[in-house]
Amino acid sequence: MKIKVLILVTAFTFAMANAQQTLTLGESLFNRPVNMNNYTLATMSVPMESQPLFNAMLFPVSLDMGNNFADYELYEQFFLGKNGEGVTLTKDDCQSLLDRLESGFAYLNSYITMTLFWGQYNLGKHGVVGLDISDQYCTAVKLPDDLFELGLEGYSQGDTFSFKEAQADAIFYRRIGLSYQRTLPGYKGWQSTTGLSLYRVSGFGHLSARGNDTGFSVGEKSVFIGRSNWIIRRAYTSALGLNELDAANPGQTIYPEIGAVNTTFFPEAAGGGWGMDLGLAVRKGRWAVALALTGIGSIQWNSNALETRSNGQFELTAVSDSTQLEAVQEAMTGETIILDRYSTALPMVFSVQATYQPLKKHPERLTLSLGLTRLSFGPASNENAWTTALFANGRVFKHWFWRSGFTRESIMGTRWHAGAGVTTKYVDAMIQSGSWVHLFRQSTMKRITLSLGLVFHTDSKKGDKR
Amino acid sequence: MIINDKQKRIIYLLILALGGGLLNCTYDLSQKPQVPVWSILVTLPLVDDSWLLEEMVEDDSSFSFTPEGLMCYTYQESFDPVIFGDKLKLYPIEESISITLDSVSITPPEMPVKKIVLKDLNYPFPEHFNSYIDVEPFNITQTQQALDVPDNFKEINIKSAKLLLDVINGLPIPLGSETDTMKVILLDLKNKKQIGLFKFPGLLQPGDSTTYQIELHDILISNELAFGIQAESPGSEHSVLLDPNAFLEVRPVITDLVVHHAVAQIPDQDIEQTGQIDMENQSHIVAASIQSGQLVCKVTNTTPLGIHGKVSLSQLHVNGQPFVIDVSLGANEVDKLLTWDLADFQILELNGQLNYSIKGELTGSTGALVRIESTQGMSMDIALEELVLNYVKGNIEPTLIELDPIEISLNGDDLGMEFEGDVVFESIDLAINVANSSDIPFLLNAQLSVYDKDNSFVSSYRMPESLISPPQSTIHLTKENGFLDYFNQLFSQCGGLPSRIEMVGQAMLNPYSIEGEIDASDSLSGQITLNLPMSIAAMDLSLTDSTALDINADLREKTDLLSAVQLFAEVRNELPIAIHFYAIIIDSLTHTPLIRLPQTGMITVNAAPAPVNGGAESKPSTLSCIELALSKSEIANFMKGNKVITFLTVADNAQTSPLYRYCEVAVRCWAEIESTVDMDVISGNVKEGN
Repeated sequence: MKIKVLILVTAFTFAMANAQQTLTLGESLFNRPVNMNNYTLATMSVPMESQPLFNAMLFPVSLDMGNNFADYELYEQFFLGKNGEGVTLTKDDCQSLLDRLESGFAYLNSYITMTLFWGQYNLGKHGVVGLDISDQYCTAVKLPDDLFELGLEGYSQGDTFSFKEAQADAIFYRRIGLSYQRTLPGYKGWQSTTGLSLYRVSGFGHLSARGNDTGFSVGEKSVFIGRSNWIIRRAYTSALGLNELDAANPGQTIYPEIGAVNTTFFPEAAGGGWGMDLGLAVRKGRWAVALALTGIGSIQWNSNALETRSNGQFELTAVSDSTQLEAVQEAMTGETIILDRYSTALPMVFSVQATYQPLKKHPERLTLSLGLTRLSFGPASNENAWTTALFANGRVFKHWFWRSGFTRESIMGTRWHAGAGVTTKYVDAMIQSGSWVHLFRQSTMKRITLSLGLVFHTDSKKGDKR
Repeated sequence: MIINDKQKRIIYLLILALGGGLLNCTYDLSQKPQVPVWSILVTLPLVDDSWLLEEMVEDDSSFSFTPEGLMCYTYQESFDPVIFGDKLKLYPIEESISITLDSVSITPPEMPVKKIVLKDLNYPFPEHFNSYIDVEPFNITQTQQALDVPDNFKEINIKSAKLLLDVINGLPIPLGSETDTMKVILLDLKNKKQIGLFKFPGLLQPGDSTTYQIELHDILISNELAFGIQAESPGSEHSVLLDPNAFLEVRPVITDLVVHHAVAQIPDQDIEQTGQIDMENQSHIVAASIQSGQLVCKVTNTTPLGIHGKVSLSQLHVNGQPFVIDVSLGANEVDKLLTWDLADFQILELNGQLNYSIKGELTGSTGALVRIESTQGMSMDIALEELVLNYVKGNIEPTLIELDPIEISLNGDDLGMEFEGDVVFESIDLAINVANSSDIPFLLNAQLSVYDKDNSFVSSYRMPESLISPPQSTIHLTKENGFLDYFNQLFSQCGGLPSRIEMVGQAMLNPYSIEGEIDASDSLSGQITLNLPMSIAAMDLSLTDSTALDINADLREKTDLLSAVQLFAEVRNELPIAIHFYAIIIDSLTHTPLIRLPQTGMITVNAAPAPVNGGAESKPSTLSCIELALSKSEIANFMKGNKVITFLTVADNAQTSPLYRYCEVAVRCWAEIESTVDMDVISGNVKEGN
């Protein structure tokens, strides 16, 4: 009778599977660790001593991916198997897994930024102009603990499961932007710098799934009473090789067919739009306050734009009743319609940061910063998603600089970040990670955070003083 | 770039820390991940069967409930209207009408006036002629005087006639006396017999006349007639001139002549007769219109003369006028056949008798002597045949109408589908509602012929005679008139409801002879409603259901995944009879029983107390549960099973209990399964079973 169990499990996860099939982009991750990424002109950055005449960066990577419940220890314990076979979990094992979901849900996210090109040119008193081309991947999945409980423990009479908290969001897009930064005239020691980026956005994939009011309960005599109210909206590039449109019947959908993936750097866009970043930094002496609002804009998806929606109820009193089973399946699978287009906002980040350079004689040697950041994307939009960051950075030995600090957010908790870089006459190199600690305590690793960058520039000393 | 020692030391320190960290790393990324295996407990509803009488009724309009909540099988079927159409008929009217000459007044032959002179009267003193003398009394002796009869007849056989004789005394002496009579004798010389004797009492003075009448009966007279006179004369009181040529005038006249036969000249003359034809049907028809029918006349003329006749039937109208038959017949023409189509004729004021009037014109013999007899005349066989009426108003005599068969189709599968075994009904009501669109009642005398599913005749039931009064009446066939016994026997015989019932019979129109109206378009229509309160004396009553339980073929081989299976069954009984229950899981392909629940015997579910108000207010029930933990081998059997069959039988077969609206028997089976979750199996195309 295992099959009967699977019927239900499959039914509840069907929509998810459907979505997952549409999102092979899931392997592509998008990270936008705004607390340290200052490659975008409009994003707040700690001003350097001088601005080089020309900056250029090739293929820097920034990624942040992980979850809030499963660490390497768990992986090692349960997923590496024994003697070539899967580990058999005991009841206690399953319970310990469930205990990890303290917050009541599992949260998995990933943010990856891959910059294909970034460069800026210093126009001196006329400011700085820049050009950037970057791909951004962003996923966020929230799975309620009921789903894990169902999968790990099963169910018995009297149990109730709710999947209304289930939520998944993913977006993959490329931006090609022009930026302009200019230092405004000072006033009584106040100095301010403002920046603006305008960029064209090409969307390659989007997924938004909401569990809404989906769940079921098991009553007396094993009667299942359930409701299904969820929605999945997606659009994706045809390069993905996924087809849900019925070529023989325009306007109709078919069960998804997976074809060949067209791997190219320039896939056909599934949507397009415009975006804008704004930034402002105000300095007086060794104090500075900066504000940044990035990702203002939207993408209109119009290729393979589909919406699957389910809204039904069911009662299953006997699995032998094919009519009831069909009703369950109908309620779970929902109905897919083709959308002409739909719009989604870009992942938007708002940051505010205050910095202080306590060393009067060599202020560049130590900068303290306190920042607040809020990311509007996916489940995080609904949570208390402010990230608090306390950092210190500075320059040592003339050519070295460092950065270290802590971030804290409601879902992922507190993490320690540290990074270092070296600057030479023409090249700067830098690395930062929030996962250093896992070099020593790998068992607790739930996330990987890493930023790498290599910047080529002219002699900064010959640049204009700002 | 110049690095001083301090910087170098720090760099080395960082490299050392980083290296140490990396050396400390034990991330094993080379090992292939293995999906863990774990166990879960799930519960699955297997069977959910219920037999709720009310739901059965909802799904099937054939069931209803009495106000008391008692389940009732109801079947309603309208039957095609039986339109009276051509069934309104009048009994044939047949009559022979004859009109004979004895009722014809034939003109009597004109008798000549006979003058008898004195000298021919045997006067004893002829010498006194032409002289004035006192005439002495004397007797006139009888003398025979021939009459000069005209030749317009040869002989007449008189049936009856009046013969008048006028005598005028042209003699100078009186005839007769106060004490004697004068006698005149009319003689048929040819037949040598006396036709009549006329006696004139009293004294007939000279110049006076007297008349005497005699009646003739059944006497044959020829045209050779004579008469004689015998009289006394008192003589004259004074002298008179005794003229020998003075005469006594005798003038015979025949009146009211009815002849047996005659050989005579027959003049043109009319004959006429009126009469009534008595009808077998004594209906008083105020008005009626004829849809079809015919009038047939066979006319015969037995006279040697032509006849032109008109027969008027005053109660039969066409185009608003009384119908007149116009017929011309030649001499001695026999059996002349005449027919008339009576469609659209009207009948007015027909009250058991059809009045007729015959007027005939007999063509005279135009001078020729013809022999004609009193029995001759004209005869007419008149018949109104196949009279079908469109409309009748009046007091129609009770009339038998043959009804077209009324067919009622029953869906026999409606009942018996849910029940197997013998079912005995404790009451029944087969209501035959008949709408009578006329305003005349009918007495229905019919029988129900019943046919089974193979359309074979099973049996018949004679319905009690029932009055169908307008506008509608309902006949109830119930226990009281023996229909229940018949139906129970029939139900047993047919194994359910019969497939067809045919009502055949007759309707007696207007059995109590009341006045009313009926039209050919009037009809008997209506519907038959069969109400069967479901009181079941359940003898072998059983409820069975089977549900498919398909398990994916791949999974059948994975019985090791199931570590424990426990089956549960719960039976809830709201019937007021105890029931037994068991269930089996079988392999439907081989029909092999795999699991039996319980393993032996059956679960007994006690009878529920009778519901209050048919279950509307209180619906008591009894409950029985059973559970069975399967062994390893049974688990393997369980995985092979693909059908669950549940059996319910009545425990107490002697008990008779009614079935109420809310009575339900519900069976729930479910399984609690402890299963190993093996993702390899799950990803290996686990298919939904159903």
